[in-house]
Amino acid sequence: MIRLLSGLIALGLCFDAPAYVVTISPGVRAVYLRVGTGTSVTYNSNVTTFGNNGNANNNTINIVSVVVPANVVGNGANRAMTSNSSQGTSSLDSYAFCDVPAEIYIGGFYRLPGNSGTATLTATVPTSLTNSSGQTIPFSQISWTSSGNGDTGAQPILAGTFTPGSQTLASFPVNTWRESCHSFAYGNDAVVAAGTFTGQVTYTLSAP
Amino acid sequence: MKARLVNVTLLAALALSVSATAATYPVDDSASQVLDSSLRMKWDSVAPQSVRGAGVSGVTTVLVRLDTDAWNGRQGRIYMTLPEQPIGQVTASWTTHGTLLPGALRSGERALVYAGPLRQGLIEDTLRLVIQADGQKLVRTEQLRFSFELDLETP
Repeated sequence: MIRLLSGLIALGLCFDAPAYVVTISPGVRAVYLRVGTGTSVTYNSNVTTFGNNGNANNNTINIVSVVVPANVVGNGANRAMTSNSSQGTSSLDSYAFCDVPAEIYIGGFYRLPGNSGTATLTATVPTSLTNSSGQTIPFSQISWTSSGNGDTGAQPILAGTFTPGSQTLASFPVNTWRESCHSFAYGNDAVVAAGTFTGQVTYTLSAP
Repeated sequence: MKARLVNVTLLAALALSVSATAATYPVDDSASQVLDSSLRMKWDSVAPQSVRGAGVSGVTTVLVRLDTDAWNGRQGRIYMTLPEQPIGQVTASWTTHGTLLPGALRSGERALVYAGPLRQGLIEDTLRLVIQADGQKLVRTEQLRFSFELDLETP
């Protein structure tokens, strides 16, 4: 009976046992987007440099271009464009995913504690490309196909044609990596003045 | 032969009885102190979709002070415990300065940190504590309550 009583007392004390407390809070949210040349962030990267209040900023702006010979200007046959990007490896695993310079790598992720959420990839597209004389070519003359070495099935960032304004290109479900390689082409549907026509498209990955 | 068998059975029963009555006591660690008691966990890897992609980790230091005065002169085994957590499995591993044993435990389990005589009334050591959890399940602040318990050896 005495043993039983002491056992009960011990049991009762267990509920009042002191404890030291460590409060843990979730990992930080993060978005990462690379278009063409960028700071590669593989899963082996040092977490102190990115993903935990760090960043992977890269100011490089790649150029995609094509030269249209005078004798074919406006003949309606698409002209393949090429880029000045030399970085075709995947940021996910360093796999040679895109064929550079013909293709531009587009990839990234949205990281968030939890299992629900979506980030949106958009392109901010000007109305037209312009030359030094102010003449224009509609940006809708530029389209792209989407692929990736070793990939089968649909690409996460689909093929399309630029539409002036804010153009939604893809959704990135939380905690997944999305990547594709885009090959651009100029539609060459109209006779335009001679000159170098330029315009800049900005890609943005935004999360709520 | 029959008598011997009976004796062996009795001894076994006695041994079982002793084991069954070994008492476990909570150890007062209210003098312990956690440095950086609020941990912002860090992702184990930069990117998702890797083997380690969903894990988060944090490191802190704990000045452990265990009041064993009530059991001075006795022998015992002290365990650190962490209850089951609503965020799934949490793992803690630690190193020490030598008084306590280094080790690791998963939530819902206990791990031995000391075995031997209880002489001084107070056991002190500094733990470098590493905590790991599933980053996708850790969506809000959680409190991990570590405690200590003593299995007192019978005299």
